[in-house]
This record gives sequence, structure tokens and C-alpha cells, in this order.
Amino acid sequence: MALIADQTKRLVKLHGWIAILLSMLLYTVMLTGTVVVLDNEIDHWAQSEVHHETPFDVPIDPIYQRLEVQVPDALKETVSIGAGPEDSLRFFFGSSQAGQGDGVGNFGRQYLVDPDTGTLMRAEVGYEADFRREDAGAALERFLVDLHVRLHVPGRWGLYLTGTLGVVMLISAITGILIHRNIIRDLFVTERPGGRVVSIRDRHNLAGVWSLPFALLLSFTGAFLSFAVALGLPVVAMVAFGGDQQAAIEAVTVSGSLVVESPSKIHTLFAILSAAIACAGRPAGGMQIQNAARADSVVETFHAQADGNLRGMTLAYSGPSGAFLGRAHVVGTEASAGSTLAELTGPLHFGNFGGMASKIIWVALGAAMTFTIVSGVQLWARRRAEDPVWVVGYRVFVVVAWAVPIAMVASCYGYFLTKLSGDPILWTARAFVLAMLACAGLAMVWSGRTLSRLNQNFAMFLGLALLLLPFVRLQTGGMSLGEAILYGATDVWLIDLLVLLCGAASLFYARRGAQDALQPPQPSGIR
Amino acid sequence: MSGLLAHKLKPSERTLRWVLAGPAALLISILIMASFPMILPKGAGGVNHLIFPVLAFPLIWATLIILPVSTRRIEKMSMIYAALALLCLAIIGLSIVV
Repeated sequence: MALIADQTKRLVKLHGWIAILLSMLLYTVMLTGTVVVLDNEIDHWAQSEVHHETPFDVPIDPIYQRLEVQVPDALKETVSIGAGPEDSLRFFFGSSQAGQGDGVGNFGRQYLVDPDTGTLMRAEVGYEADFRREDAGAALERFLVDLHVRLHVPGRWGLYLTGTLGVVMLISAITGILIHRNIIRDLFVTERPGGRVVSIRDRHNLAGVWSLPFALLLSFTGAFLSFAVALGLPVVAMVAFGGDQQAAIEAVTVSGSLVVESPSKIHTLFAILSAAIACAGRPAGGMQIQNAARADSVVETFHAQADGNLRGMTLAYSGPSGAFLGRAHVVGTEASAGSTLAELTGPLHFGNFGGMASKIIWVALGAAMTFTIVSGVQLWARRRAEDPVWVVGYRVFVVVAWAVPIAMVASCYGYFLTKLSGDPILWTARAFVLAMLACAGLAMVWSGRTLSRLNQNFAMFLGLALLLLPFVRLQTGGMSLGEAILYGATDVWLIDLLVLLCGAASLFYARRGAQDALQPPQPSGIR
Repeated sequence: MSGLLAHKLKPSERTLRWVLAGPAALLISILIMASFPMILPKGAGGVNHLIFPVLAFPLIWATLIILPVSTRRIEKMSMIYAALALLCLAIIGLSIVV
């Protein structure tokens, strides 16, 4: 599409202004998104767990039957079985009840059972979502994921915010394509020396063009995931279902099977699991039983993606007979274009469709997108180097750009240091806030220092904090490298290795910064 | 006199671009998301009409922001936006009545 100069000028302004106004939030969401691609691995690392593909390595029927007789039928509307905290097998018997937040929640009884001995470890009553929130072991992973998903802004507002950031990223990517005249040439551009404006532009173009398809994909799927429940569902419910959101949810998720309310027992779960594994080609990660006490009960088994598949699989079986009912879909009663697209958004956004290989690619491209934001702000500020407002604005951005990763590492310290005897849920969050405040305080104390020196100091902090982290993890009851290799806990040594590499890279950057600081200062004052 | 008043009341091109790319873009994309379930086919799974508008919402919003910024004919674009808003409102109104 050939654009005239006036149109290009306006699009360049839109490309710059829309991203610069939200640059700090965009950077935070992008950086945390890059990290939480490895959220499961971080969780196993933090809890020193060996990753099990399935929690159902033990005979499950005797345990289920023992617990099932203790629960009233009213609480068997939904039964969830899967991996629980502290290597336990988790059973939740519940039903939808009003009273949680601004909607309905799954209320019932949770049982945590030792899978090796069948001994009951814990029995609790409450909302299912609360049990997940109060799982102290998963506090670190949950904190980082929530930071990415909603920036810890409560309720729907956090999702509105991150959804809007997704749209801003999408606009930046689309306008980036429109204003670029030589996209193919920029794929192979080399940075021109001298630290000039053109050098920064080369850097921004190179990172931006390589991550362009990924930026379009991630911003679109991310915005959809944020807006679907927070805005899409209420709007569709208001117009098509007279404001009844529950009816809207049921319309897209509940299958139209025959309702038979007469009492019945579940067929052996072992037989259903065996059949499901043979059909899906992968072990089941969890299972759910709908209306467990009735003759129309349905057992659903959840499976990760088999080799060569983008999507995971949910298989449905009749509860009383164990007969195969078919493949269940996230939305809709049958496979359709809508259900396929809705199911694809998750794997494409999380990058978990091809195991560790796809995750590593997603981390690398996420890092390239984060760098695109940083270099974009750098370019914007460099072009306005004579304006004192932008000089201060850029300095604030630099402080936030260092403070966010430092605070994320601080939250890891908060988690590990309180895991054994304190409150890791509280201290993971508190350590993050304290580190952000400390960085802001340091930036004020160092207000007389040049940006090079500021970069160098913060990089040094981050590098040292990262290098010490595996040691602190080990000293707070974590698994050693030898144990991790012996027990096959790949995630433990992998994340340790990544932390050490990032720490070394940060220290290398700090050292290079120190060498650069010896060079004559740039006339603009912004580097 | 009336011509002068009309000229005074007429928003500048810049204001029109701001209004269309700002509040109008958000409002119309929400209206599209709300009205299209009434006219799209349900599909085999019975959910296509509900999923597609929600899925397309970020893309529609982004497009409706970019168009008024890039176009040379902003008056024509404002007519299109007004027509789109009226069409969506008519679909919603008809679905409530029928």
C-alpha cells in the first residue's frame, strides 16, 4: 500500500505516541510474559519438584471410592482430580454456589491424599479458587503469572488494562508494517557505529522486524485472552442472554447431552484412564467428573499435546458405563471453526505446543519484543534530547526497566526466605514492592550520576542478585544439582542454569558499561 | 450567518481524527461485538456466532483506531463510522424487539 508523506507522518506519530504513553506497562507485561513462558518450570524449580506428566501412577479407584461415600450428593456436581500441593493427589467435590467475588464459585470439600500410601494428608471446606490461591508452594509462580496477566490490578480492571496493552502492541505492529519501506532489508541490517540516532534506529528496526510476526500473534491472542472473559462474555451475555452471564457460559461450554437425574455409580476410573491414554497417545494430566452421583455423569480426561499436535485433548466418557462419548471441546458441542480458533489461542500465546523447544523460541522472541520496546523508547528520547521533559522521562523509564527485573528477583528471595517458616504468599509480593521502592530511592540518591553509571550500578545489582539466587534456593531446603540430576528434576537445574547465565550476562553488561563510561560523553546527554 | 455558525461548530480535522480514533473506535468495536452474534451463523458447534465477534474484537478495535489516523478523507470516514454504529444499534434493537 503506497502511502503519501502526510499519511506516513501521521502513522509514525501514532506508532510512537501510543507506545510511548504506555511504554512502562508494556515493558513490564512483555518482560514478565517472557519469563512466565516457563511458568511450570519455575514452579517445579521453586518447589524442588520432579515433573510428573501424570499424577495417576497409583490405583485411583480405592481412594476415590473411600472419599466419595463421605461426601453428600449435592457436592458431586463437579469432581476434580489431579496433582495437588506437596506432591499430593487432589480430590475436590463441589457445586456452583453464589457468593464468591461478583459471581458464582465452585464450593465444596478438598481432600489431599498421599499417592504412595493413600493416607489422607488434609481435608478442607471452601471455594476451589481459594484453595488454589492459598497454595503457599505455588506462590512464586502465581505471583509472576498474575503480574503478567493483570499487573496485580484487582478484578476485571487488570484484564481491561492488559487487554488494552495488547491492542496497543497490535497497533504498534500494524503501523510498524505500514511505515516500513524496506522490511526485508531491515531483517539483515547491521547497527551503524557511533551511538548516533541512526544506530539506535537500526537496533530498533532489526529487533522489531524479526519479532514482527510474533508481535502480531502474541498481542492478538493476549488481548483476546484478557478481553474474552472480562469484556466479551458480559457484552454478549447482555445482548444475547438478557444479562445472564451464567447462561452465556453454559451456552458455550455445556454439551447438550440428555439429563438423567437418577442415582448411579461411576465405572472404574482406572479403565476410563487406560482407554483415554490409549486414545490420546499421552497420559492424563487431570480429570473431572460432572454430576458424579447421577446416571448422566460424564468423566472428562485432560491430555497435553501429543507429538505433532498444536492442541491438547479432552476426552469424554460416560460415568456409569465407561463408554467413550467423544472428544470434548473448550467451547461448543462439536468441532467448528470457532471452537478450533478458541482452542488455538492458548497454545499459541503460551508457546507450550512443542515442549521445551517451542518454549525456548517463545522466550527468545519475547526477549526480542522486550528489547524492541526499550530501543523504541531510546530512539524516541534520543530524538528529543534537547527537551528536559523527555530527558527526565527517559531516566524514569531506565529506572523502571531495571527495577522490574530486580523486583522479580527480589520476589524470588522473598519466597525462598519465608518458604520454610514464614508466609511466602505475603512475602513474595512484599519483596517485589520493597525492591521497586528501593530502586526508586536509589535512583533519587543517584540523581547526579550519568545514565551510563546508573545502568552500570543497576546491572551490577541485578547480576549479583541472580548469581546468588541458586545458592539461596539450595540453603532454604531446595534440591541440589546432584539430586536434580539423580531424580530427573530437569526443571530445577535448567532454571538454575538460566538464572546463572542471566546473572553473568548482567555483570558482563555492567562491566562493558564501565568501559563505555570512560569514553568521552555524548553531546545529547542521553545514551 | 448560519454558514458562519456551521463553520464555527464544525470540528477541526484534527479533533475529528481524535474522536474517531479514540472513543468512537472503542464504542463501535464494542457495538460490533454485541450485535454480530445476532447475524452470524451458529456453525456446527453452536458457538461460532458468539466466539468470532469476541475473537475479532482486538483486531476490530485496532483497525478502527488506525483508519481515521491514516485516511485522507476524514469526513467520509466519519460517515462510515456513523453508519456502522447505526447498523449495529439497529441489529441490537431488532433482536430485542423480535
